[in-house]
Amino acid sequence: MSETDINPQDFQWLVSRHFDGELSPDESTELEVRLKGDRACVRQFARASLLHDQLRTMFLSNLARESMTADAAGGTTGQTALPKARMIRAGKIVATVAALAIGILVSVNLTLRSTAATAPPLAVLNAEIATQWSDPNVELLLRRGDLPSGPLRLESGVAEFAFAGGATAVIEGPAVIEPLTRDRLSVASGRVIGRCSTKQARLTIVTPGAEVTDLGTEFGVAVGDDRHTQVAVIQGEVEFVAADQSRRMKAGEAVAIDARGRAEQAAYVIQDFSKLARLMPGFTEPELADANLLADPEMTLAPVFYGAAERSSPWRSTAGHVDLVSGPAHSGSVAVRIRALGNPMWPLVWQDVRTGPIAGQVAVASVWAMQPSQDPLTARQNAIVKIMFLDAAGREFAGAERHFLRAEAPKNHWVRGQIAALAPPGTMALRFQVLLNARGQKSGSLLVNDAVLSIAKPKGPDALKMK
Amino acid sequence: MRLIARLWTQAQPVVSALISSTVIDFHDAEDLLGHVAETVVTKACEYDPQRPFVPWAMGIARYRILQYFEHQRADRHVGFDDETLALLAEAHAEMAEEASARLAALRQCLGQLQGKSHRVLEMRYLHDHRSGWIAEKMGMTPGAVWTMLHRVRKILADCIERRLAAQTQGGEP
Repeated sequence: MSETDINPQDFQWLVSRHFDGELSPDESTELEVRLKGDRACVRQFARASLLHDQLRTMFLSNLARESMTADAAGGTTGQTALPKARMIRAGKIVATVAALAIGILVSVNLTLRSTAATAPPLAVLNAEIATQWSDPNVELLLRRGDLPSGPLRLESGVAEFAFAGGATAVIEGPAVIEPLTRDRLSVASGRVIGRCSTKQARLTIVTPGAEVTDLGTEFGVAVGDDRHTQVAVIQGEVEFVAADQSRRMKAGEAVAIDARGRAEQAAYVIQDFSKLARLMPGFTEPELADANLLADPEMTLAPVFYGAAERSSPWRSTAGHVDLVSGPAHSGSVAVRIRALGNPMWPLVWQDVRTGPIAGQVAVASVWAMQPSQDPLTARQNAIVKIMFLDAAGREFAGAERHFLRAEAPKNHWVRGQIAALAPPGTMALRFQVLLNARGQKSGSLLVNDAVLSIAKPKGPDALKMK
Repeated sequence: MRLIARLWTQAQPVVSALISSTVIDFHDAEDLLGHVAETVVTKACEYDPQRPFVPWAMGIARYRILQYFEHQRADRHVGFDDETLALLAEAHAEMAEEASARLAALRQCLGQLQGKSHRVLEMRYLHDHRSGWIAEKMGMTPGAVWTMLHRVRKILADCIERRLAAQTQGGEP
């Protein structure tokens, strides 16, 4: 069938071009007139539209399945299976139905979306280590830079949130939390470290028995199952308000507050919080890093599609989204570019490294990234640097990631993202990844350069740990 | 609520088809489907179990689609009016029971497609590219891309009908 074989009056031809958004206004009118005038045309249109919709579903599902297959086949060609599997449209159906079944409206919103830019959330996920959320859809939303409404239950692991007011909060699971405003966090249970690294930043943690407000500091709050609150000041000062009193506390002080708001000194709390405070260091302890385990760490070799047989580069990538570009780089003259191109997931570049058994050692990953002014990040897109821990079969079983370089950051300015986590038992290899949280936007890109993946033994009992 | 979940499982493919056949942008269509599901939940108490669920869900979808068109006034020609939407919703609802069989048939038919045809479909449906972009990348004219997409859809549609017909007759084509 050539172009000249097509009869422009052919109804199927009209429908086909309608689905591709190619009809002129006159043709659209003609299509509508024919639909209104002929029930056979309506039925034909409905069959064609089901095919059109199922083709979209099928291709997205196939992509996710290929990803999972490649992943199961072993470390060198794997794509991030779990996130993609969750991102397929079929998953959306399941998520939607699950939401219907349990009546949680938010789960419906967690389904795959192309997300037109909306108001920024009160808080966004900044980093996570081995997190397990009670609702897997919550994880999906958080990783995409959204914030589900209502309480969030973190079953295990550690998550760090950046609040719109400038503060950060590190939460250790199990915990139930809910960001209330841009600088207020409700903690129903669990342990939280609040940090305000600038003078403007503020954070108030609301517990069943008290409200604790930082005064330019780092502090910990724990709420037990008995609804008792413990507050410890690690640096600077905080103010707490409980039923019977309001007072300031200085570094090294701690109190225990019962559910009725009665407070008493409790210095023993401090040590626990100082350990948690080190779980999410704002940045690295450079002395942790040993030799760089990555091949081509400057990222000068063009990444190849993960399914390709070609082995010209140690870097693997999402097909069609990643290339090598010449020009300003953090070092050298080339950098890897990751483009959104409407991808609803996280296009990425990655490399696997066989390490042998490294359980108990700290894995540190870092990379430099920038958003070019020619194609800058759009609202709520961001970069992610991630470490996946692989077992002997090359399967991912744990991970840690940091979100950095958001759209608000300066253009053409290189910043480093870094994450460190303790390798869990069974770790035999590491997967280093840099991802673009594309959010379905057609524009937005990252340049990445100078990657580091290293391992080191933890320094003493207070060093980084992973649940 | 479990009843609603079960009923939605059957309705969702045709609701999705109605939306994506009228809202051309895949991402907008997917957003809209989420809104429809959300409304189904919030209005679940208004659903009368004595009446068929699919048309009820279709009614919600119609309302949401019209709302979407209202917000797209600058591009009015892309939207159908409510009368046309009602006709389409009814026709889609009638296909609810056969949607899963059609999907299974499509899976088999798609496996037979190779080469350029498959690549063009992938660009259109996986990467959400329009004809102009595909034409540039494939070294074709936009008209040739339209023709190819039309031809491939027709091949797949014929293949699906053959397989469905064969199933009802107890054989494999």
